[in-house]
Amino acid sequence: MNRQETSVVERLKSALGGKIQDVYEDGRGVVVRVELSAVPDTLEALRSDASTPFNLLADVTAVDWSRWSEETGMKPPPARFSLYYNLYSISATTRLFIEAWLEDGQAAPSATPFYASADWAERTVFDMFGIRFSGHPDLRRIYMPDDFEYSPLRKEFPRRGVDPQDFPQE
Amino acid sequence: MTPTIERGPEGGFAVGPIDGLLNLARKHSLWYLLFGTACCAIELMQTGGPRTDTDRFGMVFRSTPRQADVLVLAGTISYKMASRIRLLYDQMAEPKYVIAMGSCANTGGLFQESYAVVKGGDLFLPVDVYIPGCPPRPESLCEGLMLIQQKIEREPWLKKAWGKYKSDKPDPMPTEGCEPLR
Ligand code: SF4
Repeated sequence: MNRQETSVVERLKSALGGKIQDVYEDGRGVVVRVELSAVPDTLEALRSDASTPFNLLADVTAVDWSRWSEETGMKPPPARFSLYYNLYSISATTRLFIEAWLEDGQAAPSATPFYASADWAERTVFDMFGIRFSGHPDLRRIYMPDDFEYSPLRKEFPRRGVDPQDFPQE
Repeated sequence: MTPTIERGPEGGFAVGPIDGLLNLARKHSLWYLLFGTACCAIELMQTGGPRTDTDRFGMVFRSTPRQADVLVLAGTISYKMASRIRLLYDQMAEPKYVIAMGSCANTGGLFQESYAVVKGGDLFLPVDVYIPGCPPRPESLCEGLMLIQQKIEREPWLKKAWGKYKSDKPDPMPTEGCEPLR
């Protein structure tokens, strides 16, 4: 962690207190793990940060951990899905990731009140993983047709896809 | 059915059945829709370029389906795109032809294992010519267009259209009870 990242994490810790579960660094950069319910507060705090305002939400994405096993050599996942918010501060050229875990069927709070760019990113996550975002203004599928019934990036989805004849053709 | 070109004292003239003359005209004004969905579209553009020069056969691209005769499925087709392509096809005026260009449009190709890709353009459109390759060279696409020309040449289009017209509507020119013109 460089000086800027350390200071922004310090400020975040003092603002949010115990809601921050973990701060770690991996190949991607600095990842701040928070409770799912604390995501809006975290985003708001980072967006209005005085010295490093994170004014760009580059991406929202998720990972399905349902096929985790010992062989992967990774830590056992605390829940089924992990959500990642990729935040960037254009003025301070600093990147920060927010991580939150949630179970299947649980709705995540939407980031659209803070970042307009979250709209399509959350629609993508909804389309691919079936994760719902509460407070999203227009939660529809974005890549797949509206009558598509599956979440293709879930691990139980067959790799070859479902039979093309199964698809209702418009 | 091919009309023959004769030389007369006052210039040339063509002799042949009307279907053949019509087909001769149709075949040499084969306009394709400027539309592509993936990398094959680059080869489609190249085919219109000066090296292959389909213009010499009267094949030029049109930017609207209303004026196009041929729809070239150039590229990978996703499920969401398929309905839009169908819309384009429905907007084209009869007679219309479809070329499936490249592995993706034939079978889904490289992306066949994807959840989002249609496994072949013939699942939702009547395809006339399939062109293999990934991507097919401009020469192949040109050959595909020439195969469509050959198809047009053999087609009794006027007869077909007249038959359809007659079956749809009452006789357009009733002769009984009409006063002959003087
Ligand atoms: S057939 Fe090959 S070149 Fe053509 S769209 Fe598919 S992947 Fe691209």
